[in-house]
Amino acid sequence: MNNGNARASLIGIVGAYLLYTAYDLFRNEAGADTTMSPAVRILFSVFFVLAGIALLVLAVRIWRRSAKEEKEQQDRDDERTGIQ
Amino acid sequence: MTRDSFLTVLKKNAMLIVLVLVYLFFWVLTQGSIFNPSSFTELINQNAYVYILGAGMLMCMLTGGNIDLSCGAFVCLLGAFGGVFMIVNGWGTGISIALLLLVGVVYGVILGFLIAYVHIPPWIATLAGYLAFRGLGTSILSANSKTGSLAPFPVDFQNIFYGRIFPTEKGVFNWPCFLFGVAAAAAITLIIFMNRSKRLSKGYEADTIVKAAVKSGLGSAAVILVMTRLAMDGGIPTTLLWVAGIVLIYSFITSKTTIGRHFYVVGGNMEAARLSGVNTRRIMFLAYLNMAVLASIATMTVVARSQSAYADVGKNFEMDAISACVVGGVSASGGAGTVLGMVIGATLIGVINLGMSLISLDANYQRVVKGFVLLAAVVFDILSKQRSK
Repeated sequence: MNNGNARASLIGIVGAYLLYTAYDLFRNEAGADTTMSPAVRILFSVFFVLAGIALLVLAVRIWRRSAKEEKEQQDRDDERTGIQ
Repeated sequence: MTRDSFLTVLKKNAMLIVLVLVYLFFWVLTQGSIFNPSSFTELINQNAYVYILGAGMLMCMLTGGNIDLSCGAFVCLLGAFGGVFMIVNGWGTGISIALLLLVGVVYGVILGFLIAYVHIPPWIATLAGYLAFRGLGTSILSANSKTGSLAPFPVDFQNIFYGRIFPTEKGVFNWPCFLFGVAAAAAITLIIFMNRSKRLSKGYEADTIVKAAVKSGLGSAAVILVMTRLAMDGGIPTTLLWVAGIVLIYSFITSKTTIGRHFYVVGGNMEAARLSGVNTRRIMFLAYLNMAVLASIATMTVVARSQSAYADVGKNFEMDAISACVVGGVSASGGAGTVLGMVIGATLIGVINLGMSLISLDANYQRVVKGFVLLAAVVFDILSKQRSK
């Protein structure tokens, strides 16, 4: 597994965790004890949803770039082998 | 000191400076409670699992940004096994600890084999564990207990992982603890100056005498401060010994051994490492075997502290370990990061968690803060990578 894929996975997982945090906030996992007003909770949920999606999109872009670079490297190696 | 060199020092020690500032922030907010002796003990006991799992996650991330998503759920499963061994079956502490470590080794071998030799991407292989282990652990606990948790663990097991060395009453100054701190401070000073003279004797660049003195002074002062506070709270927690031992071992491995350097090389450029003769598959295998064994040790500290094995134990542990590494400067691309950085990252997260609980901050706000910290660390890493390109 190349570094680009691993980096994309890590960024994607952080993005997924932020989406999970947004879901927890939206569902109000703290229950009745919370001092956070519903409006503030929703605001933070929306922020984390947007941040999570942004990281997931970035992860996909890194993964696709990494896959493209790997393919180009493979083609170059094949060409070199062909010449030899 | 010139402006440039001052900025370089700031940049190099950014996380340490942030840690000090956050600590001072909570000192004001908690009106000094965070400086109480009991807070220092709580910081170490509450966050021991972060340091231990962080060391394992560091080794995985060094190989190329790879992670282990299963460590938290594995802690739940191992906790259930531990409960069955010691509480249900009544087996001895020694044999139970050995069995738990063995289970960790077996899982690590399987996981390492799947990732290193079958080439399953680490996040997929460990995601399977993340999904399966908690369910399995919960089933084992439900099958052996009406309440879904197993307690209490034997006293000798708790003493090994949540006891104190040379305990005294709280409020009575614990001299062995203080002297241990003085010895550690002396060792830090000796190591810094010995390293400096070794580098100079080989013709390498080394810190100036003033810089080395400042480094050793600050390090020693921090250690003596912590040990003095612990000395007022009944003595050295055994958890601290486990954490310190693991941190020192991994610090040595990553900086002074060939195999440690191989982790960095594999993470820097796997193909170049392979062509240079490094057995990259073995390094990947060892990273995940190591993580599983450290998860076993983390499990024992956690269940000893909670004095029970329950279904929710280990929840989000993997994210805490990843956060500690990313906040501590471990690169998401691999090939960069230090144990000291991970320790600073874990301590920063620990101080934030402790500070928030001392001011009784709402659980929702705590979630928001944790989310922001992780997001900031990842964004910082992304921007650093873009700048270096």
